[in-house]
Amino acid sequence: MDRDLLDINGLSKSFQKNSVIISHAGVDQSFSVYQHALVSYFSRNSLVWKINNKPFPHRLTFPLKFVSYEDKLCFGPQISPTEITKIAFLHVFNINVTSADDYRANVRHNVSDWFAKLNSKSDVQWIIVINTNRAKDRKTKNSIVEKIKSDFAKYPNRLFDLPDTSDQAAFVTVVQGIQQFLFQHLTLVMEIWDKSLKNQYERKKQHTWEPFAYFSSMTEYARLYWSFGAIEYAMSIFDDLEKLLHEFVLRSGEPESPKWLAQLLNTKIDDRPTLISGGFSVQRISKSEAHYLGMRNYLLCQQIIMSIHLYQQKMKSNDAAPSLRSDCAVGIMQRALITIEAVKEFNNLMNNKRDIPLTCCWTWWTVSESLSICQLLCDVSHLNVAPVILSRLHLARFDALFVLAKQLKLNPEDSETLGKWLLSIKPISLESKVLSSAIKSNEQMCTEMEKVHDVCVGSLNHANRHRFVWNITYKLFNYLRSSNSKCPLQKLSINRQMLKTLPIQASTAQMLKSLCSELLESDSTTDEMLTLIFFIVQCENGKDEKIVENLMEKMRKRAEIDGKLVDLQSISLAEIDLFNVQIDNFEAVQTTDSILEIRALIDSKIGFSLENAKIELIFSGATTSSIAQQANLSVLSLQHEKKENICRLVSEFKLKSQQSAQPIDENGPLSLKIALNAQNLAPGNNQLEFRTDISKIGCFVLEKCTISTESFKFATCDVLARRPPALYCISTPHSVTVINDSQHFYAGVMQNLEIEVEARCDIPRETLLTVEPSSPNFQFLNESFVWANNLQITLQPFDSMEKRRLHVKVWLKIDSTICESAAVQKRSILVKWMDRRYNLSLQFVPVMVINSKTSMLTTDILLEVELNRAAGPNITTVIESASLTTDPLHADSKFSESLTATPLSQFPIEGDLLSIANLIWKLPTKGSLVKHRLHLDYTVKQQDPPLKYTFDDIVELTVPDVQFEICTQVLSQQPGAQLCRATSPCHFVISIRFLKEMSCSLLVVLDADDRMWTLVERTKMVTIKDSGLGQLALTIIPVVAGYLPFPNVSIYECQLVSEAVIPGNDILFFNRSAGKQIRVLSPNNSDNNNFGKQDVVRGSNRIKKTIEKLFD
Amino acid sequence: MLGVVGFFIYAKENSRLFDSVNPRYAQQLLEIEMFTFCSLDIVDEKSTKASEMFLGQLYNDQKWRSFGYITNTGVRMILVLDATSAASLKDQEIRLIFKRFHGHYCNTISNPFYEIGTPMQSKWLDEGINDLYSISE
Repeated sequence: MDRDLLDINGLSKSFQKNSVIISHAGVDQSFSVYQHALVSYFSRNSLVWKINNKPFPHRLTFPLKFVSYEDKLCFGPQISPTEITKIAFLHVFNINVTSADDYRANVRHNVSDWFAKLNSKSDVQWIIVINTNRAKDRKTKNSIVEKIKSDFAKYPNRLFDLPDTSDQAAFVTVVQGIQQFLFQHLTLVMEIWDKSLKNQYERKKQHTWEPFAYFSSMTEYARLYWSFGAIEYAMSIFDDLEKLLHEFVLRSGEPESPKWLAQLLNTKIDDRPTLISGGFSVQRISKSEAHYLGMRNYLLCQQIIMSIHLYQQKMKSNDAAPSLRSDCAVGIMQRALITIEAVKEFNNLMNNKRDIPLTCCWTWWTVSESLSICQLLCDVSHLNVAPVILSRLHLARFDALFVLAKQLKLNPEDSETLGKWLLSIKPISLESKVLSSAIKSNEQMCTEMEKVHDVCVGSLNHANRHRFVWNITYKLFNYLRSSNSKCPLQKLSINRQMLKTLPIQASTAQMLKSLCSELLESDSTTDEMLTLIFFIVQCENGKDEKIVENLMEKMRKRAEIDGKLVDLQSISLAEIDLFNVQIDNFEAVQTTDSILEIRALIDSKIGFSLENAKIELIFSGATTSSIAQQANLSVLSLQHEKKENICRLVSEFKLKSQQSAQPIDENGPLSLKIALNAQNLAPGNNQLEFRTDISKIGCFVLEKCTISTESFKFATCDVLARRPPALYCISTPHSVTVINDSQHFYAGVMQNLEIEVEARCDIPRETLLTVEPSSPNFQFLNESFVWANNLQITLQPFDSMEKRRLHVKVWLKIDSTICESAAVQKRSILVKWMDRRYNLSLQFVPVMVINSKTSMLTTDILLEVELNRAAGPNITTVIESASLTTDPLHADSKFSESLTATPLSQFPIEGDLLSIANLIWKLPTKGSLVKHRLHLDYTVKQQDPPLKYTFDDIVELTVPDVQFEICTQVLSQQPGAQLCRATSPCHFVISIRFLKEMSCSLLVVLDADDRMWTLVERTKMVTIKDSGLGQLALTIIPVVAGYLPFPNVSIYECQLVSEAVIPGNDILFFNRSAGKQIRVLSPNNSDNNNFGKQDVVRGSNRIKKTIEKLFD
Repeated sequence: MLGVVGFFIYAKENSRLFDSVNPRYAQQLLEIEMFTFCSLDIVDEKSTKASEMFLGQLYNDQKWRSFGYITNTGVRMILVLDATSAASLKDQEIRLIFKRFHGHYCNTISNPFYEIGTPMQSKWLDEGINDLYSISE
């Protein structure tokens, strides 16, 4: 049968039913009318057959066939079960006469002869049909019937009268009679056959037993039921036979196993077993197919045709199931699969290596042919129940081709023999051509194997048999590599779903490395590639260093390309955690600046060592990111109040309203990160110790642990801890104070500053304390006895509440601001310790007060600097040197360089307590607001170690051009008195000299302290003569006795406004008597006797002499 | 000769808890293990509709045959036999083997120091394997 012409009807017709033979004798012409009616009736109507008074479970139909009587159609003494089907079920003699006499003369002897022959046989069913339609009247008909009945008086139930063709009741009687006798014969036949089969089966343990004979008898037995319409019953017989054959094979290893099994091996497979190419047309299995493969192939053929018959039978009924077509297709595939696997098992158990190539070829085309038949019914790929069966069929086909290829590789001489065998059977099928070409050429074999592999993989994936996909792909690649063929790497659909099906074991890694050797050597860094390599590493537990190195390299490349680390969890397939992190109990309450220690145990399950790894414990202070929150373990959360520095448990319901959508910054105040860098993690348990300084305040819960290298990272929130891993960081600042600040310090000399440092908690490490100026001009003496701008002190570890005193030598440099007066001024220094800043305020008094004033001479201007020593410790300062220079930036354009003033004092100058030292310079230049830099170098006497101090500051001086010179004197107005007395009038004589020898008018104004002087005259005008001299006297009265300073003198230009004289511009002058004092005696009540005109003349003369003396 | 090739126990997550291969078949270890994990496909397929723990014969090829057993907690046991062996174990005998090993498995996980999911090493399993291989010989 050609495949192209294959259809369901053609397959159905390939089965030829066994006919129910009914022999007929007598007048045939008259009975032929009834033959057609009987055939139609018994083929269409299903009849109930009773065995032992029980109905047979299936209704039967009888395919009747009428033949002429022959002796061989009767039972004989040596009848065999297989020959029973050739015997007539019923013998009919038809009598058709016109009268009783005609019967006696022409027919009676024939009937007697027929009956005599039947009677000589045993168990023969017969009937006599009396056809009286030729009789002319009823009387004649009755006489004929009466005559025949009298001849067969012993068998009244076997005589049937058919008076006329229109008599329906008579015909029904005949039909019922025939049915009865048919069932009687069927019962007898089946009893004999069952008994024979039973006897045959009981002899199966004998070595002389013929399995083929039993198989043939059983198949004919089933076909008989099949012919009678009991298709399901026949199917069950075939299935039982199938199981029986399989059981024989399974028990072939038992000690009592009979030897007849060897006959199955000894029978050669000469004929090519097939389904389509002539297989279905075979009615009975031939002796040449008496091998296991032939018998199983025959069974499969019959089962397939029977399935189609059953399908057609049910389709005609009214209660056909909607899935009838698909059920039939699935049934065919199942039977094909069972047959193929049974043949394979037979070859395995019987060690039948000779027939393996032939069996493989048979498997190849049996799968193709059975699937082709199923396609006639429906598309099996869409069936829900079919994927598994379909995948197994394709797997069997692949295995068959694979085994065939291996067998031919081992025994190349079998190729020619097998090729001839394939082509010897006509017609040549498509499968034969393909196999022939594959056998001849190795390349063609590889090509066909790839095709079969692709189909098989598709079906296996559809059936979710991914492990089988790995297996056959592994086999294919091994074969291709052994054949020096190129492996189709694109067929390796490696993905997470496929890899997940593989067990984590060393053999899996070995298989994958062999299968994907080219891929592993490629430069691909896709997720699938990383997943594959990491899976291999996990299967081997990191034992293959080369593959581990490959994995690390690819992850580095991937990290470089993506710009971020590879997430190890994303490429891991194992459901176990790659790292198990467990932390021991730690001190939950920590203070700022303390050191937190956490011991952790990390169990590495990745199988290889990690070098230069970074491990981080990330604590989160956000209320929504705690582990308890994420795991839904508690309805309470921890919250920290910063102001009150307390922690409290808060309901989650309350927190929901406070949740913020802002992401948590890991470096912000709501996060605490503890890291260990450059760690080596070995496979298994690793003990780690985390240490960090607490620098944040808040309540933190351990959120996750991250492990990262330069190429990948891993994060887990599943951290084991016996107690909730919560950390409460509170603030307890340490104390830094100055303990000797009850008295003020002296600026300008070294002072010993005692700083007390108190640690409020344990500080188990060395810390650095830095002292630096908060106000300018501070200098600190370091260990090298050199003044520095700041001081760094290394402190040893502290115990809790431990105090320690530090001695810091500090020098506050004096400047014009602090030396302006002896008042106490505040300065501060900054102490930095433990990331905190302490601003220490100190009180300073300058060691010397510096005042300056300028004195104007005729041609020079003098600067007098007065250094006053304030009260304090007995410190003797020694002015080693002093210099006064002009600032070049502020000099006149005429002088581009700084000018140095000429010192008039001799150095060194010592300054004791409460002493005054005067430094005098001759200023080098004149001008208004000229900046001068005053620099003093001084030391402290008897100070150990001897230190040098400096004063350096800008002094802004106004050096005007003075044109007048005055000299003042206080004279008593009493005659003859040399001294002034309190409350007595005195002359305040002012002599003025104009340096340019010009005449002018000036206005002189006096000013004095009212407690010392009473000014009788305050203002007076004086005229300078052409000689440049002028003189005037003003009356003043001393108020108190003692040394009184002279009144202050101011001179202004005279401006005439109408008739009044008002002061004009202020005139600068040099006062030679500046700073002088006059002794005033206490009041005296004696009268002056010489007061009068002579006294006035004498006084005037005395004044002139005095002026002359002054200007000498 | 029964031809017992090996016995394997797999956890639900495809991790292997116990494996033992008859020393007589040591040279074919890779083939046996690949055959075994192919059988896991059949176990996954049958376990969803199995009415009892014993899953029957799973898979056979030219060399090996496998039988499966699944516990209530999803632990799979696979017995691998030599397909070319003349003798054959009856269905009931295989059931007894699995039942016995199920008891050994329960004894093993009852050890308080055994961590669930890790490879098993216990005297019960070793003794069971020795008995199984002695039957094979």
